[in-house]
Amino acid sequence: MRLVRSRLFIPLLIVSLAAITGAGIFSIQVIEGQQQDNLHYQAVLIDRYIDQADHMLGAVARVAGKSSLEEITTSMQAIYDEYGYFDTLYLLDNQSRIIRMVPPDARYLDLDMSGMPEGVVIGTSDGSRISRPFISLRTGMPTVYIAQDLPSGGFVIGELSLHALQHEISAPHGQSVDYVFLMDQYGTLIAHPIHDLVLQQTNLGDLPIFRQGESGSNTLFYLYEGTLVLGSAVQVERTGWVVVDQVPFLVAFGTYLFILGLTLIILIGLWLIVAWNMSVQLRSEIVMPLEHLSQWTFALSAGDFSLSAQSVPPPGTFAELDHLIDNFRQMSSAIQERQQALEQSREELVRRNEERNAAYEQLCASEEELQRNFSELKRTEEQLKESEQRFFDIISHLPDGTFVIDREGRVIAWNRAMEEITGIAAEDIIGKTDLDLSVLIYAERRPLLIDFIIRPDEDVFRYYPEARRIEDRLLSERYIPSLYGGRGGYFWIISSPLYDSGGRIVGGIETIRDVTDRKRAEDALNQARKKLNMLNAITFSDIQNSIYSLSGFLQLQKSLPGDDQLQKYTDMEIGLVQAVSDSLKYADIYQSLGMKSPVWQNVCHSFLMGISHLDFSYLNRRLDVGNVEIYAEPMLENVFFALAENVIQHAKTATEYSLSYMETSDGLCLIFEDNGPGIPHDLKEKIFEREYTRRKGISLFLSREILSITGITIRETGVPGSGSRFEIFVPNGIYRFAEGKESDSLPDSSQPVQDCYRDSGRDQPG
Amino acid sequence: MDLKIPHGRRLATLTCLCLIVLVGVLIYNFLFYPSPVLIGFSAQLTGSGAELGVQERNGVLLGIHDINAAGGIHGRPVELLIRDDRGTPDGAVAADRDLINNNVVAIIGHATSGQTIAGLTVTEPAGIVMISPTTSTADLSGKDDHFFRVLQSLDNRARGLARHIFHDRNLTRLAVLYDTDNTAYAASYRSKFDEYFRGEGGTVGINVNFSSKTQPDFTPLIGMVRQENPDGLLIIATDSDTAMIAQRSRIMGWNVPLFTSAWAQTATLIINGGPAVEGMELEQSFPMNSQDPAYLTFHEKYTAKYGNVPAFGAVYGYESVQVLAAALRTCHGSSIGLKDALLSIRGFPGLSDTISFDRYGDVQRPSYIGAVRNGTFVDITAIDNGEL
Repeated sequence: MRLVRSRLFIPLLIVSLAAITGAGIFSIQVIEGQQQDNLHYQAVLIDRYIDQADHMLGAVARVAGKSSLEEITTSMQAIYDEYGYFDTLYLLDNQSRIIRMVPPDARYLDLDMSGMPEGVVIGTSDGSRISRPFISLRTGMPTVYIAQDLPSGGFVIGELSLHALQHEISAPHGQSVDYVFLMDQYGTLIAHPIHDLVLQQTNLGDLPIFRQGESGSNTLFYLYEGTLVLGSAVQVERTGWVVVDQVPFLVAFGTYLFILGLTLIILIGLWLIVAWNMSVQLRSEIVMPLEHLSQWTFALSAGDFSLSAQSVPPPGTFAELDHLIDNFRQMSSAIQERQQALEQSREELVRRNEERNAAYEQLCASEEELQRNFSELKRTEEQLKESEQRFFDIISHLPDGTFVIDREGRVIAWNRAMEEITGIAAEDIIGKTDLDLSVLIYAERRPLLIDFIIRPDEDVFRYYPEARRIEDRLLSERYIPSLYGGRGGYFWIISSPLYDSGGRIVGGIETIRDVTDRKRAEDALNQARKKLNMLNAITFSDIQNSIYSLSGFLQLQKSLPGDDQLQKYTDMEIGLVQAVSDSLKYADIYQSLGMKSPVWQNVCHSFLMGISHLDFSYLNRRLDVGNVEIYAEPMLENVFFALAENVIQHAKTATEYSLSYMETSDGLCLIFEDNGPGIPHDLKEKIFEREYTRRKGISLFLSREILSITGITIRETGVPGSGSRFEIFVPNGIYRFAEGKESDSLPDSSQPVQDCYRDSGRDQPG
Repeated sequence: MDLKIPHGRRLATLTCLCLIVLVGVLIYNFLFYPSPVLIGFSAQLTGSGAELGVQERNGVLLGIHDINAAGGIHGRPVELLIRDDRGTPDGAVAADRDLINNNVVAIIGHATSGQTIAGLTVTEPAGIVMISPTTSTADLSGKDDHFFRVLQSLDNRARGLARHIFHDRNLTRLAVLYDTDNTAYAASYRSKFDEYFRGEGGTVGINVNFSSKTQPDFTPLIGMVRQENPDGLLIIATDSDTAMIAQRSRIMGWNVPLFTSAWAQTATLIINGGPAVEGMELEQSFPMNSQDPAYLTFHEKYTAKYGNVPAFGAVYGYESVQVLAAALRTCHGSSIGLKDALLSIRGFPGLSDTISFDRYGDVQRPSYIGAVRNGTFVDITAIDNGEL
């Protein structure tokens, strides 16, 4: 269709426009021709009108040269009557005075007309004169003076009415719709269809057609009172007046527009017919083959090779189109081959793309995981930093000297107390790897206690024989002479390992507490106690000797005969001496408490030693304490003696007793129990009071005192009626299991005492 | 992406754009083309006394041509609606009513006092400003109305002429011939002249009137006046009648000094009067031999356009529309406030002198005593208006 439009319609349009334009120009020329004809007719008419009047006056002038004044008057009257267009005829003498008038008017006779300037009466080519048109005062109509010189001097002047031209111009000419008017040489109307405009001396000198008309005939479009008109103008040769013939554009071109419309309708009809015919032809010869080719192209572009060359119409009018179809077949084959190759490549690409997408998704997931881990790590790191800062703050404000080292022995914390003790500032030691802490602390090269925390396999007791190991901690107390700037002091030292989340030792922390004052007080106390013991021993010995002597003398006195009253008094005195002797023994035992340092003691051994002085042969025994050792006062066996003696004295119905142990999170519990009558609830605590035991059993009060020396407690928890049960609680750190095979089975009373009698050493807890 | 538009669509788009632009321009012109400022003109344009009105109309048209050439009223062109009052009071009323109905902002007119007085009965109730180029009757002086004029009241000029005749020409007895067709002017002028001439010590022996419409024979009238043997004859009539009376007087051998009013101050007087009007003296509101460049330019343009020399009516018509345009510019082409705008005008440059209005709309400008010498008007002396 573009072809139809560009090759058919546009040329047709151009041709049509050219035809229309030509028709328009032709119409203008026709109208212009009509106007020019009309104008020439009007101009000739006006010219003849003036010319005829002039000839009339010329006749009068000729008569005037041969006739008397009366004959001239008669002649003027005849012309006035015959011609009929003169309003007045004047006969002027050679002084320009009016001497005759037709029709006669006495008012004007003898008037001097010499004041009329030359410009008013213009000359003509043939010697006659014609004035500029004016509105007659008498008739009120446009008028001109026409003058002819008289041979004898003077003039004959005709006042020629131009009103006749008004009728001529206003009268329609045939079917013409033209609008004709006449102007003088200044544009003042002489004749016009609207007569009032003439009477009002309307000037149309500004009209373009007037200026054109002055320079000859012409035709142009211009606005007249707001209406577009086509006007032509012709100048009257004799007078210079201008005749204009104008017609409104719409009126003038009404016929043309009708013809134009008709032409357009015909052209449109022709266009439609031609277009329909062309469309049919193009469709069958070009469009259909091209549509088939287009469908084929579309199928090819969609990868459909099912359409074959047979679907294309057979060769037609255009060889170029046939050639195009052949080329298309070849192109289709080539495309099909390439399509197959492309398909393979595409599948390969798709596969690779999927792999890449999967890898990309995995990468994205890993990245997200990393981001999460990183965020978590960041958070943890921040928390760790905060925790570490708090940890260091706590350490820094601890009253005891504390420092922390990492696994490489590098100091990572060093608090103010350490600065005071060692005189070394934290910034001088933290992070330093080239410093030997032992030299700074001990003024000699030797392992620190904390070194054995980092390397627990090494023998700590080689360098720290006083050390104790409580679980994973090491404790020591010693005098370090190099601290406090060489002043020295006693220090209680504890080192603990630091673990990571996996339980691996990553460092250690060591606390050094200055116990110099306590140590000195203890030393002073020990000195005082030794002196007191010595005084007691001397005093006891003296009293004991005196008591033995007094007791012997009383036995001698008792063996002497005497009265009964004296014997009674002697017995009472012997009893009092015995009570004093018991008190002295108790005091002797009690004062020895704490005099000796606690030692590690095998529980089985101590128990057997304790009960060895008692007769337990009638009772069944169960002993299940393995190789447990506890750190206790050396009089531990007296505790077991007191418990066993309590069974013999108060549990007459008992048939068996036992000693076993049980480990808890807080420590070790030794359990001694029997199946006797048990202890009433109200006596469970009273039996450990001195006042009670003085009367009933002295050893339970003493037993609690012996155990309390090293922090061990004892209480009775048995159920009355089911036997007594004494629980001896040993806190963590002061019990241990001696090396060697533990006894899983309970040694009964038939087993020899030596089975569990082992030397556990006299060492201290470490 | 390279977007390609089909050729046909481009052509259609271009055509549509052209049509839209064309329609837009038309709508713009229709909506925003400055509407013209309508001014009415009303005077006698037909009949024997039409010359003054035609001169005024031509002067007004020339003034409008110059105003529009200078940009109009703030860009709005000025258009003139012309009506012919046919020289009758009824015609004046009808003409002014028609102009008001056509929404003119002001009316320039009328040419003669009688028609002006009649027209004011229509324009004054409507509040429409009327500015007259040539109305000079004293009956309209000192009134606070919408009437303005650029020609001095005849009161002053009649007095000036009376003084001139009595003192400069030493004439003490005068006769008067006057036209009753323009009674408001002629009778008023005659009355004022009579009053002032008598006041100066002179006497007006006879007053003879006529109607120009009856085309009277002036011979018996002049004979009647001549019998009184006056020292001079004052003619208060149109230019053509004055010329006719002058000729007839001379034909009758009566060489009495002739005087006339400014009403006859046209070229027709000289053309038709010929030698008979030589030496005739007249009071004239405008110095027709002025050498003012503005007047000379006006004179040249008028002569070129209309083919004859401008009379005082054309001059005052031109000045009327110029001073009216100046006032319209201050009130943006509206009739609202136009009266106050005119009253505020002081020293407006006319064609030979300046124009100012008093609080009653009467012009304040000089007038002159002139004469016909060698076929032209010449000035003799200026009338002192200040002594009135």
